[in-house]
Amino acid sequence: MYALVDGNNFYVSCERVFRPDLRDRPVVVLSNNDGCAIARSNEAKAIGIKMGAPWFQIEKLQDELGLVGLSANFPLYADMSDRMMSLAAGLGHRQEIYSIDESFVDVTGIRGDLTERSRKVRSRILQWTGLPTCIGLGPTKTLAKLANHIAKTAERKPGVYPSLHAQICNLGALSKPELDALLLATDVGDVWGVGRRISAQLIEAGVSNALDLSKLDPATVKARWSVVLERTVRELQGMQCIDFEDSPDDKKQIACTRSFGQPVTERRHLQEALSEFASRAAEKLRKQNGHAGQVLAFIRTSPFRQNDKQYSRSAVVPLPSPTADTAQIAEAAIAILHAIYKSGFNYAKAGIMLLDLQPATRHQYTLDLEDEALHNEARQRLMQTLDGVNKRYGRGTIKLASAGTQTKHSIWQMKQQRKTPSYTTDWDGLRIVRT
Amino acid sequence: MKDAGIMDGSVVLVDKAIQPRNGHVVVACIDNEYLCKYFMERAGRIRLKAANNTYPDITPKDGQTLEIWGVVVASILQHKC
Repeated sequence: MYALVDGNNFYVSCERVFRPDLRDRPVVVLSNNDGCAIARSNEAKAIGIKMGAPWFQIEKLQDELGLVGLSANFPLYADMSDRMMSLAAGLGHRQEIYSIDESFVDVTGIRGDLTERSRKVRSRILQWTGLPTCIGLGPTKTLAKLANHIAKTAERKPGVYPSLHAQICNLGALSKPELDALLLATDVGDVWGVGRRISAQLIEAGVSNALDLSKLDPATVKARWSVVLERTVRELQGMQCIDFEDSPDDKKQIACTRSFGQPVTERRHLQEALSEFASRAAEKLRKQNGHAGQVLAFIRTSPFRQNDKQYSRSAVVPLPSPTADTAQIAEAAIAILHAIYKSGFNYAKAGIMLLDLQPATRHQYTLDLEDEALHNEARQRLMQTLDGVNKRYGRGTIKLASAGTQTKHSIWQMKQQRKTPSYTTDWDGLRIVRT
Repeated sequence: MKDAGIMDGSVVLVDKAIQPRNGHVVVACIDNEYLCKYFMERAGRIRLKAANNTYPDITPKDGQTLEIWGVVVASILQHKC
């Protein structure tokens, strides 16, 4: 038996914990450079704002309908997510953190009333963190996900499902006819793993709801559609096909890319940006205890600025030997930049990607064996120290000089004009309270 | 909240997991504002009391909601430097 614990409108909910004035109003959180809506409050959904709506199109609703748009505050969301996850884990004995706002919890073999237990965990998360959640329970991950969808929809749009399933929905506690009724009321496109294209095909074939889908013959589904959809059908029938991943695989690729807040023309600014991205990527790499064999770097203009001359170029260089050393990775990225940079363009985006990732333990030395081994060990200690200092005193406390000396107002930084303080991770961001 | 040792500019540590009881220092939310006061409850009615008696108590009026955000468990007094 699995539970899926999911934060409601997560980014907006995080903001509301520290901004009570945002409750009961339409609120959206915007993507990088304040581009488009990536999270919406129920009120924002109710006034018809779609996921991904560009801010410049909905900006006018600020005056008309009291809409509030906020820049994404990821340090806040990540910290609130940790708090939520640690409490959600108490529901069962294993947890798979599926995304920033949802986690599967394995509750197999737990005695007592699971619905009641979930209700308690939900109210604990709400009281301890201020974050509202919905919990769905089912014998497979797909059914737990579906139960979560029902729990959320029953709360937000009364009438679609019986209201007793609001907030907590336990499909495992239902009789067959009750379960079938819920599946019947669920559009096939709302089933986990059924994409828009497949959903259109299914509807055309007369399969319009989750109940129809669950009654298909798995073998036929495999032949006509795919193994993936076959798995979904079996999961809907109650057969576990999707593994529980409590220790996620190491990443096969690490990237750090970003759009700039304003066009960048000069090479030295691109160099600062790439150095910074290299540091971030190398830090991620060291966290999973890996080495990269190759570095890719790219720069490009914006295809949306149609009056600009367009240019886009990337290149890959191999590292002398696989490494997680910030300086070596940044050096490679800067070498690429020097090779591909052309003046006279308005650059809008740059990034680096670390490729050919391998565990740090599998290391081949080049010929000048001893010197390199000694040198490597010293460098490794340097990197450990760097990560330690940056973790303790904040990102960028120690960085490469090529990343520039300005911290907050580099020309290539993102535009985030509507960002709230990092209330929980920054001493200068603490919430002010009156007495 | 000077009489409770909390000065202008003090940093308070708030635990949201504690159920507030009479006499606790709490952070409460009323009219979209966070306030730091003593928590008092009698017969189900909540009252927020300042440490200094010359400030009036706050009781939620009809239509006003009062939410206890968390309980203050420690405060750090910051000195000029």
